[in-house]
Amino acid sequence: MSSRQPVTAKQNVVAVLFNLFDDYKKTTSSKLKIIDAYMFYILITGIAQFAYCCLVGTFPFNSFLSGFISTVSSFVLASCLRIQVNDENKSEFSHISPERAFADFIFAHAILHLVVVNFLG
Amino acid sequence: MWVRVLAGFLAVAALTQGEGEWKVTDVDRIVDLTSQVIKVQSTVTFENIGASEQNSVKIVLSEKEDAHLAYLQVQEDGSQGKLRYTKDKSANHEGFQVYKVELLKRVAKGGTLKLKITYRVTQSLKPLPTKIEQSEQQFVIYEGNAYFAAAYPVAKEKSTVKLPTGKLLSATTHNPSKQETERLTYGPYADQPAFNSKPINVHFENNAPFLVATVVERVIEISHWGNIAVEEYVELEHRGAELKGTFSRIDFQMDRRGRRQPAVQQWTTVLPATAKDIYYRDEIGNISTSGVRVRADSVDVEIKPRYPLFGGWRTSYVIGYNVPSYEYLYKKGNDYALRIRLLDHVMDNIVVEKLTTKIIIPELARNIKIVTPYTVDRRPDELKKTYLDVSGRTVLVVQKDNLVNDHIQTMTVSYEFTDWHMLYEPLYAVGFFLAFFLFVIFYVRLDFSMKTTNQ
Amino acid sequence: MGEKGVAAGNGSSLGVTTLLTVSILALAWFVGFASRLFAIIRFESIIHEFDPWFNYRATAHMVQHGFYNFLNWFDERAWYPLGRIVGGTVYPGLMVTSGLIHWILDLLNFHVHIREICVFLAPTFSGLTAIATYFLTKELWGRGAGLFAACFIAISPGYTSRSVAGSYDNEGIAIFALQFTYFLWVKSLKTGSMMWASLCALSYFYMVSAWGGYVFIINLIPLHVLALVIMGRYSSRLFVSYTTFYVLATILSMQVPFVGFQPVHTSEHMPAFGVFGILQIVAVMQYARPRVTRQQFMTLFVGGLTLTGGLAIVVYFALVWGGYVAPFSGRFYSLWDTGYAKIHIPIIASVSEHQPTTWVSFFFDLHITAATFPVGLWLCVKNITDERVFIILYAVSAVYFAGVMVRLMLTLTPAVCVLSGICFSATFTKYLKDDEKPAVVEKSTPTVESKEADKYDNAAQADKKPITKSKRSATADSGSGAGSDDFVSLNIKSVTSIILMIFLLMFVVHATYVTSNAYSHPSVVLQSSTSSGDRIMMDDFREAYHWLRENTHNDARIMSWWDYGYQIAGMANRTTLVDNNTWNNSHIALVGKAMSSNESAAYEIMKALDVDYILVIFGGVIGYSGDDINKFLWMVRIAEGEHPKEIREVNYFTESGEYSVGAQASETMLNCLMYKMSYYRFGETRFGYNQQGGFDRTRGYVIGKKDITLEYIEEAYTTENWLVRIYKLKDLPNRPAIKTNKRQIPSSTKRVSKGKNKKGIIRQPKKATTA
Repeated sequence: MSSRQPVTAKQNVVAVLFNLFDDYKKTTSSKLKIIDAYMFYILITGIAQFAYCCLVGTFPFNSFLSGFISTVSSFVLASCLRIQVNDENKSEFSHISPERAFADFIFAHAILHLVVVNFLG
Repeated sequence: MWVRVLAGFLAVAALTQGEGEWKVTDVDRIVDLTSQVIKVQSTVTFENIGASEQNSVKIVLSEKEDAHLAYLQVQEDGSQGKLRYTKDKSANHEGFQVYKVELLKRVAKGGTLKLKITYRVTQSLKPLPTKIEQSEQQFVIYEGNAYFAAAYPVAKEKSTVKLPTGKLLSATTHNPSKQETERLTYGPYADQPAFNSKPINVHFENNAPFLVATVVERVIEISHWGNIAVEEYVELEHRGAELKGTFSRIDFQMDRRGRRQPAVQQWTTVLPATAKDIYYRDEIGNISTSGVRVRADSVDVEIKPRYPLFGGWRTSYVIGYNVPSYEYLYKKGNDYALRIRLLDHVMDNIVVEKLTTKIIIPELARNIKIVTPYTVDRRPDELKKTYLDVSGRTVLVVQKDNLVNDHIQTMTVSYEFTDWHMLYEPLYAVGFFLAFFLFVIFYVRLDFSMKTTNQ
Repeated sequence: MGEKGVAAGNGSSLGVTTLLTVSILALAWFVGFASRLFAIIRFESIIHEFDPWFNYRATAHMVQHGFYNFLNWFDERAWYPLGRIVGGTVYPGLMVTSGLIHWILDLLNFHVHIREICVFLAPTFSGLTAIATYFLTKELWGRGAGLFAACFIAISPGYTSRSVAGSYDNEGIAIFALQFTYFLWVKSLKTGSMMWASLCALSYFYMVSAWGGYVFIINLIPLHVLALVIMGRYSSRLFVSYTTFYVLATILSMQVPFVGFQPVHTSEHMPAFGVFGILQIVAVMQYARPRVTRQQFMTLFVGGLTLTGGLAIVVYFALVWGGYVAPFSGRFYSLWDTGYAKIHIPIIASVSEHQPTTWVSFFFDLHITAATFPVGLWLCVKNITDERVFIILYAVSAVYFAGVMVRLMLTLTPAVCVLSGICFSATFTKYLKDDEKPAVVEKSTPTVESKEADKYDNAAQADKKPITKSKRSATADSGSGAGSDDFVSLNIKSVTSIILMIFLLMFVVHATYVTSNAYSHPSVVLQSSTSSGDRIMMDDFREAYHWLRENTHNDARIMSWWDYGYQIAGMANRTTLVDNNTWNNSHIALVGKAMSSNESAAYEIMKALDVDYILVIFGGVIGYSGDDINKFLWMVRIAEGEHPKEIREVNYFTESGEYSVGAQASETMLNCLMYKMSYYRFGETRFGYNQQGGFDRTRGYVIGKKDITLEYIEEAYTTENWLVRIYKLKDLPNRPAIKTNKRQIPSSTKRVSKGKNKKGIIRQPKKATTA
């Protein structure tokens, strides 16, 4: 488990977030950081797509949807992978090894991208 | 060699003998108009008045008859053998079609010959009026010839026209002619010239079913496991006087005429005595209104269409049944022969416009030959793959237009088949299940878990 | 019976248990299949009812023209003159399934007619449903309960009603998809595996392609998730399974052309999205919680949640208001307010399967399981786990929906079977546990599969260890096993067991009885019996449809009430104006208006619609109660909804406010097209010498007006029992009508009198107007 830091002084949200960030930098393993970087990248992509749709419009709608959903899905699947390989959650996923988790991840992605390609039109 | 040439020469010489070599001494003609098919049977006595013995004779049909001719059969009186005939274009006379009949044996000079000429003409009785109401009767008109048309002078002739029960509206008279109930007689006339013609019209009531099978598709599937499956698809049309105005159910229910009304309510199809598993259905399911009566030499199916067939109405159905193969399939070593009807009974006095018969031969059969009792149009073979087939079964397809019940005759299909090929298909099934169980046995012993690969 | 399988499997040989499980499931499949064949044996291999005819026609079209042509199929024979884009307005799962089976069989050179595949599809899938139910219940409780549930669902009348042979409808395969999706959901929730969640999404995709009831899944699963979160049962497994499921399911469901963009556009799908959002927030919270102090956490939690929650609601309403997201549909509202449809959408209210369920039908469809499933529910509540929350929610919501609409009885049945399976399993676990004497077990022989039970007895006696199944040891034993400590005497045990066995036997008997008597009628063919007990088939529908098929020109347009649209298209292969896909209310109202107007006004409408023939169903001769006269009020109501000026419902009642076609009937009623077509020349019929002419057997009185003359139409065909009457529009409207003045004295013919007021069991049709 993570080492809990005693924070007493500041109560505002910004401080809490900083606190969390510090905690993150200290306790997260490098493997998870890679996943996090990947997720961050997807997040940026998603925001870019959303901005594009707000500025330019959603036509053609199916292409936009497939693009956006694939981003969201990738993000979600990555976070799932992150949860499953996280050592903190070892107790909950005792029967799912990291390799198995990755295989599942690939499997879900295979389905996702087949559908996305079909939906892209 | 030269003997044969000589024989051929003699035959040619015999063929080229002109008309006038025969004389018709007596004709007894019966024209049967009780159904939709015009059935004509003439018993004709010829006398050889030529200079030499002859082996052929000419008979004549009017062109109108010839256009709708379905069936023609010439026999020597007292014998069953059918004589061969060919159309003789060279000797044609205005409005007539001449056929040349080859005799079995030569007739000596001055000798006589008695022939039985039978023919069937379809779709020539025209309804008049062409449209009738539900409560009316159907009247048809017959156009014919008071004389027996012959290629030779006729010494004495007499014609009888048989009519169905009902009113006779009009009939051309030509003395001496007589009108009796359900019968007209023309003649006897003496010493008439060749190609003699006197048109007659008979306008009479005929409530017989004018049902024409526009399509009959007969499929015969042979199984060497002891079964022959037959299925017939039939499209029917009532070609009598068309129904005018409305169809009223209540009038129909109260109609006291019964079978004498022009609407067709049911008919009987005669199937082979060994027929079983009979089904009668159409594209939307079974037709529940039918009954089967088993007789000594046949199985009669009382067929009731879903609705009564009035003039101009159509219907279609499928009838199918199984017969044991020992009745029809003959075997000698590896040679098989199927002897089965090319066309089977649909109903009495039916006219079949187009018949397609398909024979499905078992898989791996070789050397397939077909012999038909009359000329048919042989279509290209088809290939059908069914249960557990690998290479598929050959399907022979033959077609013929304009048939009547006299065409119900037997054809022969012969082929070669090696008996142990029969065992292929059960072996496939056994093999499949064996493979399946082996797969299951194998599968449960495999381990697909991801865990074993890591740590 | 199943419970002992567990007992046996617990011991030495896993193989025996597996074998028993497999053979019980196989037998359940077989029994379920066989009991659905009554209709085939009694009648024939034929497509039933109304909707199946369309499905069959569409399948045949797909098999003939290929899948892509099917998706692009524009059916100009329906909804004349509008036509219907079939590919975009059907759930293609059913057609694709049977098309696929047909294709595979063809590939193996087994040439089976597509009709046979369609007829036998539902019974086959009932076996798969039983297996899916087994797996679901196994995950929820245990193998024994699973086997019980599988056996229940295989023969439960509530499910059989939609899956007899010939009932080729979406529900037949959808219940399998439903159960299987639920099983995969529970499985993925238990394991927290992305693979199971992906498979769940795939199964959901199949469900979406098969049936509109998928909305139930996409709302129930989020509800489950929400309930778990509120109950404080959030876990990472929940996050993994739900988020994976949701994203994949959403994009997969959009692949079905009929669904299209609905998952992002309609309110029915929004709860799932909302829960997806909530889950993200909760996940972040969960991540943050161990890392910050409680106070800070509250700041984040309260602040974040209220802000996002408020924002989400605002955005949702903004989207609805802006038209980006459609508000809830009328059918949806009618689920909450049963009176809604009657007021606003008569077309929905008129459908017989949309009527509220009666208490009788609960017993009729569920029998003993209706009584035992609350026990199972209670057991689940008592020994709650994540997945049992699911079955509780499922059962509770399904009970509600089943109460609102008869047709949703179908979704209740699986839940009831699962819970009853749990109930029986738990009870038998307690009362058949033979740790003292094995004698009790032997009494349990008479069950459905008695041969199987024999094997069990041997197996159970061979090892008499108490049941300790690993998966449910902690939970099930605390519930059912809690009682095992307090002493129940052997006699009570045996008496209870025997009584329960009798219940089970009664269930089997009842299920068979109901299946054979109530649910095995094709409704295309009617059955009646004579006084001597012989069965008579009344094949009037097919008589008329076949007549239309053969004796009208190929593009003739037939007008009829929408109930018969699919059948006319399927059996007669002719163009129809309206059919059972009731998507265009105004078009139906126009047909209703034509039927309820007088002849000349109707003629105008029909000419404008290019009608050639009109078809009405008339049961007055044989006493068939589902005919058009009995449905007529709905036609008037629907017509009134669109044309309130011309058509007024009150005009069709008698002065005392009753609906009647007898002597007191109103002038409007007696002059409307429907009355005239139904009773044209009916006044001349008599059933007996002493009876008056024109006695209507369905209504039980003599009709009001007997001398009906038709000016604009003429009788084209009437079937043998007068059940279907077809009229033809005349070309010349101004020609005076030809009166048949031949008034013969009608005599009672033999055929007419054989009916003798004996009605066969005539069931309410499913997708048809309530009579």
